[in-house]
Amino acid sequence: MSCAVNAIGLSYSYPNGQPALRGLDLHVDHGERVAILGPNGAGKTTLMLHLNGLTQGSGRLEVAGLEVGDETLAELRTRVGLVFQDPDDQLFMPTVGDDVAFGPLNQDLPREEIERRVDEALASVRMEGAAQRAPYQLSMGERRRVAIATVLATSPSLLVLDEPSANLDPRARRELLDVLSSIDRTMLLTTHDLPLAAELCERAVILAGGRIVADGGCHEILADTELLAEYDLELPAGFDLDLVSLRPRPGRAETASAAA
Amino acid sequence: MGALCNHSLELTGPAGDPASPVHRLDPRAKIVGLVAVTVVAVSTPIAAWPVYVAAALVLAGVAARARIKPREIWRRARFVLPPVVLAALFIPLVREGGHTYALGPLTVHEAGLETLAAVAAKATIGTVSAVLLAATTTFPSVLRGLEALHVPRILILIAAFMYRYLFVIVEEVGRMRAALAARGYRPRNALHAGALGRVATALFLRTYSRGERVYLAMLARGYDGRMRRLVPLAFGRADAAFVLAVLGLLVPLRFAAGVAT
Repeated sequence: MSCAVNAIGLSYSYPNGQPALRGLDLHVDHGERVAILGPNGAGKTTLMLHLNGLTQGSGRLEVAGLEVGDETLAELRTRVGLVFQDPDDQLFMPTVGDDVAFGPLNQDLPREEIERRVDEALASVRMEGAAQRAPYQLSMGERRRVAIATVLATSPSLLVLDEPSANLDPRARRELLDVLSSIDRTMLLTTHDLPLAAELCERAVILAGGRIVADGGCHEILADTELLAEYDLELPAGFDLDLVSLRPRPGRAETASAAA
Repeated sequence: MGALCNHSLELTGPAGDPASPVHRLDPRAKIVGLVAVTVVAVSTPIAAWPVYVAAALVLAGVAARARIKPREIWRRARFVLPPVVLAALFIPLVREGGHTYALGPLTVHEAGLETLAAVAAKATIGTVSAVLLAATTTFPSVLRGLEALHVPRILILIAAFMYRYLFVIVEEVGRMRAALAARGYRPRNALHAGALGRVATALFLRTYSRGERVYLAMLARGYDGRMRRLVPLAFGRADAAFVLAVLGLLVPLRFAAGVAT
């Protein structure tokens, strides 16, 4: 069976010659939620751009069952939803509705199907009724959720989020967490917000110097303070990891109880 | 920063009764109709003044149907009209011909006065046409209308992005101004303007890299150079009637008045 991400020896250098990824290996299965942690400049955003074919390096990269290359780009971009860090980059249409419809329109779907997807995507991020609003009229938290809706509307099998909780106040962050935990998709997210990773992801990898340097259960990685310190990561002072539990996944409750 | 956005940019949205027959017209009908009013007015010599009156009546009719009050028209027109008319006020002093009148130490010429009247009438009609179009049509609709009228797509895209990111850039300028002021920047002479140059440079670089990121975000959702639309524009009977009424009234009048000299 195909996997969500399979990168072998992925390397990429910026146009100025500075290496960003140096032989990165990463394997993610369908249905996993993986937090990609790491200091600034580790190559997190570059990796995200690779997953959608926006930058292409050397080495082997298979995403959502497709070998990444020029011939597969159009199909790849319907299968992978990329949510950028700054929602103002993501929301470029005059109204929220136009923006959410942008991806499905590029897939040449029939009009009724597009309208249905726009409504569903906005409902799943709790932004029903915002279709006619302009992005600049929204709060930061609302913009972030609409940005997620713009990719959900393309019905991707893999959702990739770059720093989803950056610049959010506690309430907007909580709402974002609720929305993300209710989405039943394979999910990769880069973040400095370690408590968010602890609540959302069962697996974490640490990316440093363009390579994966640690890979394991999210709680195990976050509990290893020496490892975190080595890569300039730390949990908030006084944060008790044992009091945080992974949020239940939609559609997984039955499976878990059946296994038990 | 909100306040910075609001005082002039709020004047760009629709006004009047959003359910009026004028607001509901297809944007193409309004663009063609109101541009026709402007073209007719601009091409008419002052001697054929009844054409101006007809154009003004058309605009008054449109404003009345759209329930846009004269105050609202003035609120928007005041940014354009007074400077133009102010500049035109000097024409009677310099354009010679016909009778002359003494106005204190100045000499006013009849030909100049005629030109002043023509410039003022044309500027007013042109500006009010544009104000009415903007007050009865959202900016995205105007762009869609222009696109359907085969204005080059690249110009439409530039205008659309400018509209979307104007607010973002205005906010960014507001933050930079606040950052300058917070560190005691109070320009007192031209030599202090250097900081503004650096602000402009920083703003350009930020805007440029934002442009690159927005383009990536578009590609990520499958953009391939074509802007597709969900709801096609529909040019109906009311739209045809509006265009025919405006053209049917003004064009014959304009030709009856002869060719401008």
